[in-house]
Amino acid sequence: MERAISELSKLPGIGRKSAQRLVFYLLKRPEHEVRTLAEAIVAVKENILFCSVCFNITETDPCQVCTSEKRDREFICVVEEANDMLAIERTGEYKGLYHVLGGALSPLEGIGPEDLRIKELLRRLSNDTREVIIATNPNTEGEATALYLEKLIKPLEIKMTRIARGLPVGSNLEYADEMTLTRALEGRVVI
Amino acid sequence: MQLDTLTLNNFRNYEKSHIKFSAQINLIKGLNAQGKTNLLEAIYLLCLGRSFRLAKNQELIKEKKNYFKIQGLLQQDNQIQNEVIVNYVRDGRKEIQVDRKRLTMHSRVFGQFPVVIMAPDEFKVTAGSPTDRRRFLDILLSQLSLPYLSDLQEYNRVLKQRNKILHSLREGYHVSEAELAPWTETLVTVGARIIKARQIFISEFSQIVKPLYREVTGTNDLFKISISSAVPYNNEGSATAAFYEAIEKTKNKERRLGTSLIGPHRDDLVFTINDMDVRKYGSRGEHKSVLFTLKKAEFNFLYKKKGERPLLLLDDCLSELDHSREQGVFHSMHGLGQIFLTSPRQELQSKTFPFTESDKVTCFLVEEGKIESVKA
Repeated sequence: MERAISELSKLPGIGRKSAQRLVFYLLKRPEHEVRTLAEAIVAVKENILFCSVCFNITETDPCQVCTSEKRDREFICVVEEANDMLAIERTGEYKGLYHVLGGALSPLEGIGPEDLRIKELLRRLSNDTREVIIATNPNTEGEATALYLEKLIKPLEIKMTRIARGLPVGSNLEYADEMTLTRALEGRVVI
Repeated sequence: MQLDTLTLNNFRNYEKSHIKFSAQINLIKGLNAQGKTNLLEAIYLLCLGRSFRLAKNQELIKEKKNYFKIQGLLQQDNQIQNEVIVNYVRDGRKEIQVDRKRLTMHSRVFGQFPVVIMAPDEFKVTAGSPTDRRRFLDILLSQLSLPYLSDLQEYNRVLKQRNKILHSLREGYHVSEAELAPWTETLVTVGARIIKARQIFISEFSQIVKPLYREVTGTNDLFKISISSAVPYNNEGSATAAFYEAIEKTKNKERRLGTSLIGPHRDDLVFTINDMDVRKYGSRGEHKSVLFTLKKAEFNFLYKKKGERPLLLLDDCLSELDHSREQGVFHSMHGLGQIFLTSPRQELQSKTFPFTESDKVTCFLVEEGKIESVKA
């Protein structure tokens, strides 16, 4: 039991107390249910792999997005993690391809360009690429990564865009915090 | 701004205390090491979410206890009341609540409850290192502008990342020059905003400071305050171009030393009296007069910009003053708003403050982490 608790508490967002609660919960469940869970966890590791083109997580290689006939191959959207890609997919608005970097530049954490799939991105760019959309996070590291990519891709004369940052849709202006509002004002557009 | 009540739980040497303060002068007496400064520290923590003594959260917990909690009822000049709670459980994360709503970013409390502190350690503003002076500048500016504080936090983050690469370059680790570029660019973008904000501030602040110094000293001396910066900025447009240029010039030196040499993190405040540099040549008395002027100007500036009288915390500020200077301090306290004043001198009482009606003065006695109100 101690082993189960200690293994579970290694997961992100789960402390010792949560782990304990989970183990006690599992103890009360029927055996087949717990077995299904255990198998599902192992299956994640065994069956799921990274797409060799865009590095999305997938069960088939290349992934469904990369092989889909319906996707517009002229657009590549660059994200930090597969989660970010899923978030954009949920909008249903973007029909192009993706590229998952696997993180953002952060010298303090020892993450340099070599640790991200940047070379792989450059290799994917071709005459058919019309636009590269940089959708890294709007924080310090995400911005630095965007700037780094800009320096590499701009000389290739491919159109580059950065997703906008500003006010969340459906919210009230008066509830926006000063920081978001300041940045939104800086990024204002002509109408 | 006014602090009505303060409740302390396991904070420093206080186990449990509930205090109701006067709207004007609160005189906190007690022998040394009884907990007078701790009380001011708690008030400061409520206002800005951090300790003015730069103490770590762990150190704020009472011995053998597991958490501390500070609770205060703050009333703005327009009668709006806010309840602020700061609490910290050992090894956890500090939590700040305003009106029972948890702040996800602690820095967001900055500026909501303006405060000015005058404590023995503050002598560093004039006599200490550039870091101490930048701290004075940054805390004042951050209370006025959240975007400034946020820029400052981002700048420090970028600076660390950039320094890491410069360090790796010097040590000959596997890093390329190209990796430095995006960090330089962000450093300049964010840094230029900070430089500009500081310049705009200082040109306005120096207008306040000049006549104040004459008032404080009763002389005709010319007191000036300015910023010395590695980035030459002429007050027009953006500082970006000058920043880039300065970095380019020190390129080799930065590689050699493995650290960022240009930017607002190297700024310093310069104080001069009749063109004499106070930091280097000021007498003890001049240092004191300058500090007193700066603090007064800080108060006036915050008041003017926020339309709210800051809380004024005076930690043991009378001890070295002679009688006439002391009277001057008491006189200038009149009309400042709510003041918290600590002193080890037992003989002080309400009539010590000849310029304030005695019913507006409340005296407290602090003894071994216990505080009680005593007859004035």
